[in-house]
Amino acid sequence: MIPPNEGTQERLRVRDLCVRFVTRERTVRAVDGVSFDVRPGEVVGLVGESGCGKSVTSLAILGLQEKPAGRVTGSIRLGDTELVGSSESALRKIRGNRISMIFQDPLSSLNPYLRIGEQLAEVLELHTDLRGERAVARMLEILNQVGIPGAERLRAYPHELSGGMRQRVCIAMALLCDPELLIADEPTTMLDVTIQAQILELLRSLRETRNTSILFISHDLGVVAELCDRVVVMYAGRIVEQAPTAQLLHHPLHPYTEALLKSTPRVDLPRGGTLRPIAGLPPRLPDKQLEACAFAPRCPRVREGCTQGEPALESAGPERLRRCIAPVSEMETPES
Amino acid sequence: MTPHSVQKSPFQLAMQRLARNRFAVAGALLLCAIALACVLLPALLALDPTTTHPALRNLAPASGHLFGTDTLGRDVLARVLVGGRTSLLVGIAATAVSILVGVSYGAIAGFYGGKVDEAMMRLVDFLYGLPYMFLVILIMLMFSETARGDMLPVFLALGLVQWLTMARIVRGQVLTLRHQEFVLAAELLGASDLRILLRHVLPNVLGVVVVYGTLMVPSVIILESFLSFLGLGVALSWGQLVSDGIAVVNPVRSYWWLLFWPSAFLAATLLSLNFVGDGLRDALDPKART
Amino acid sequence: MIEALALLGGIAALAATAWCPPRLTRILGSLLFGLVMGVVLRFSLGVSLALVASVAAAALAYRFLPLLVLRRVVFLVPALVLLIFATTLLMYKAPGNPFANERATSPQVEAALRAQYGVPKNAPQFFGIYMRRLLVEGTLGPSIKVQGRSVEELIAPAFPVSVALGLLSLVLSVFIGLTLGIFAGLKRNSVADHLSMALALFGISLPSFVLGAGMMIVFSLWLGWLPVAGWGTLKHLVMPALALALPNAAVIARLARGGMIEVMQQDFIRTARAKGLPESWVIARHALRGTLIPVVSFLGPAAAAIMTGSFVVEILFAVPGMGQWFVKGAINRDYSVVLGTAIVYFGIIILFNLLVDLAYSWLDPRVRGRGT
Repeated sequence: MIPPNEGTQERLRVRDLCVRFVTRERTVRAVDGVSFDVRPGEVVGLVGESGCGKSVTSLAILGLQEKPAGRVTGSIRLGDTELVGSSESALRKIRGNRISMIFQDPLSSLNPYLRIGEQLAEVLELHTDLRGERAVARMLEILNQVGIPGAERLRAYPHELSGGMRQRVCIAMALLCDPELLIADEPTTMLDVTIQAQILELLRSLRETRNTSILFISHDLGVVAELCDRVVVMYAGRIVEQAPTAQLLHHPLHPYTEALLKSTPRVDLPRGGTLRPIAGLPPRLPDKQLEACAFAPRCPRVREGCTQGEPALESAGPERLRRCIAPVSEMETPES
Repeated sequence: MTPHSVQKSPFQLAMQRLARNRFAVAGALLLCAIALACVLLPALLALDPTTTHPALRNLAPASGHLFGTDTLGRDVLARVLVGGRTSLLVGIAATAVSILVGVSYGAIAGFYGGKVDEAMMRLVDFLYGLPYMFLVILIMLMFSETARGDMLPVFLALGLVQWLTMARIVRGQVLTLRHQEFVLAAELLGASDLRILLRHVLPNVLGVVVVYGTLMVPSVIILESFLSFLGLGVALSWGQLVSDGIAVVNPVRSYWWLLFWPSAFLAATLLSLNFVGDGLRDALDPKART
Repeated sequence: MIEALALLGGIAALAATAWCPPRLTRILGSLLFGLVMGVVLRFSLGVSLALVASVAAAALAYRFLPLLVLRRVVFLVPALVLLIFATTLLMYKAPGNPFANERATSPQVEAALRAQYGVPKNAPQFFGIYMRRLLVEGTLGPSIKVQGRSVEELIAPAFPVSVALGLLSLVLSVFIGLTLGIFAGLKRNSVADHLSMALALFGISLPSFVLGAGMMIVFSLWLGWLPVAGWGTLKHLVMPALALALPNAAVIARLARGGMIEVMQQDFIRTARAKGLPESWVIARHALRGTLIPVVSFLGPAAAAIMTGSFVVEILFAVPGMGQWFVKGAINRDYSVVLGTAIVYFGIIILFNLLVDLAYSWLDPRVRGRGT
């Protein structure tokens, strides 16, 4: 497999990442041979249905896969640091410091028993030598940046804040140490649409003002379209397509991407089209080589060759990859 | 669905899970064995728990008297089995009383909700914190002149202090069921409160009632043994036998069989009941597993 | 009949405190709080000082106590009075009376004795006399069976004994239970987990006096490490405290294990790990509180269970505590002794539950706002 953009300027370089969950009954391969890069200041979307392995991938980057069942192989490089196989203490120095993460549900992601200030302060205590006054000053500075003015918020408990506020707190917590990479795992899914737009705006401004790279995980192509430079589409633990956002949205190559697009409401296309749900469920894959395209059972374009060995991930133009032997042709415009 | 696969009801699934729980199955078997022995053996083996034999006092377990004899020469095996009848009966009957009280109370509180619920549950919270032994002792005193062997007072005294947990749990369940669509639908159709409670709400509470009923039996049996120890018991029970065994504990001579057998039966029964109760809870509500 | 109606009315009135508005709750609560403090302190301070203390306590309560606590006071103090009434009724319903066991008492002698001890033939009258004694005269009344002694004189030496035993066993049960439970919860499904849960189940399945008797045989008779029974040294305290503690420790272990497992699955634990916190920090700072909450809410019932057990354990180990007085009093129909011990027990329980409430609201900030 040829990785796209061989070079050293990437901030995050994931190569041939595999995550397997080994239990007494069976072994499940949740992520299989995933490779992608995130460059400085770039926002990369990781897209797929729930259970496709996108969250597992993001947790594996931080070394937070479920233990002891989760086994990670392959390579994850942050700058010059190899993360796979690093010691727990080395990984701890990276988490919350060089790579931060924000999660889907801002209420349950914050500890209900501790004040906001306490939860922010422990990050500084852990990764910096800021203490006391200087720590408070830093926290206020960051809170201000994410749009929460006022020192009194430090004394508030999470339940005293609104959903949008809580997510801003989570983002502030993630930014305290100026991370090189921010992983955002569906950060807007649980929020109202208006708040959603505000949070997206906030993330966009971060990338511009601080040059933070963002790995943005979502099942919602609409949100991805607004924020991301490039998109990686995952299905059943593997990458099926990768492309710059505009190209992916307008000319999807993989039938799965096409199906995802058709199942997402769009405002940029004329009204009147019907939403098409994708029939069936994504499979849970065993720990072995596939004998067919994983999407074949649900694929509307399935043909004979699809069940004879798994298609390889192949280049399809600059910065484009697809894993399909019968791609959607460039001629076809996505139906509306 | 293929014609071969058979749809399983939630109850069947629960029973399947229960059957896979080794501890619960072992507990249930042991429980059945003890109960059967207590009910049948004394008659089958013509054992006599009451006749005293001055010549046969304090015999260690041997072939004639498998569990030995007590200070008055009575057969310990017979006494343990007959005492078991009392303990089991008290456990079951007092639990039935507390289920009756607790379910009605909890159902009413949960069904009407709001301030009614708050007032009713305040009372429960308060009683919950009290040392219920006070009440039990006082209620037992009221019946202190009833004939020995009349166990109704024990059923009432123990049942009336044990209903609180049941009331709390049933109330919580009813409170959530109350606002589910099928109850609202019945309400829209004009069903009366009583009918909704009996036909739509209570059947759905049955599972937790069975679980916590099973877990209540051991605590009732323990309470009864406390009463017997304090000299307030009304009939020969395991608790009383244990107290008799404790009474003869002395540094000089050990009559271990007087203490060991009733304690062992008591502990085995309580342990089995807890296993079965825990197993039932896990089987009926896999999410609540702790 | 009238008594039963009064009792039902009392219960209804008690339930009605749920509707008490905040302002009234604050006033009523602090007044009742002052009253109780006054009555209690009178036994040690004398009338005038107690009066001052009572007023001061009311003022302080009005100013400082959270509404949550005052709400409880408004409920609990009338509840205590109702309990005294109910206990009186139950005692009078029981066959026999304190004077029946004396050798051949003539009606005249009985009447004279009744007048002397303030034990009239009907329950409400006795209740009236008793409450007057308690509130106006500041005494728990004379014991009928223990000649020439007042109930407070009987309870005074027994009180610290029972409190020491109760507190020690509570501390032991929390310590043992938390240690086992947290450990089991963290190493879920490990051998250690199964072992400690089996231990817990065993603890639940043995009545405390069976445990006590077993320990007595092993540690006193076989090994000779500990005294068989009695009171006076720390060694005397070990077995009774353990016998009382183990059944509760078992329940706490199960609660703590369940709490730990639940908390460790929460999203905020994942957040804490993503911050780079070491696992020990994650557990101590983020997981422990959530684990403690179900345990703390069990402490009220645990204290009640320890008291229940203490009746039996005090007798088994011949500990000179209040439990013995209550049981003896109940069997001898020594009304004042029964009521006196009951009031002290209820008082301890109520105080303890208030403390638990405070601890609970300190542990969980989400509860704090409620009720104000």
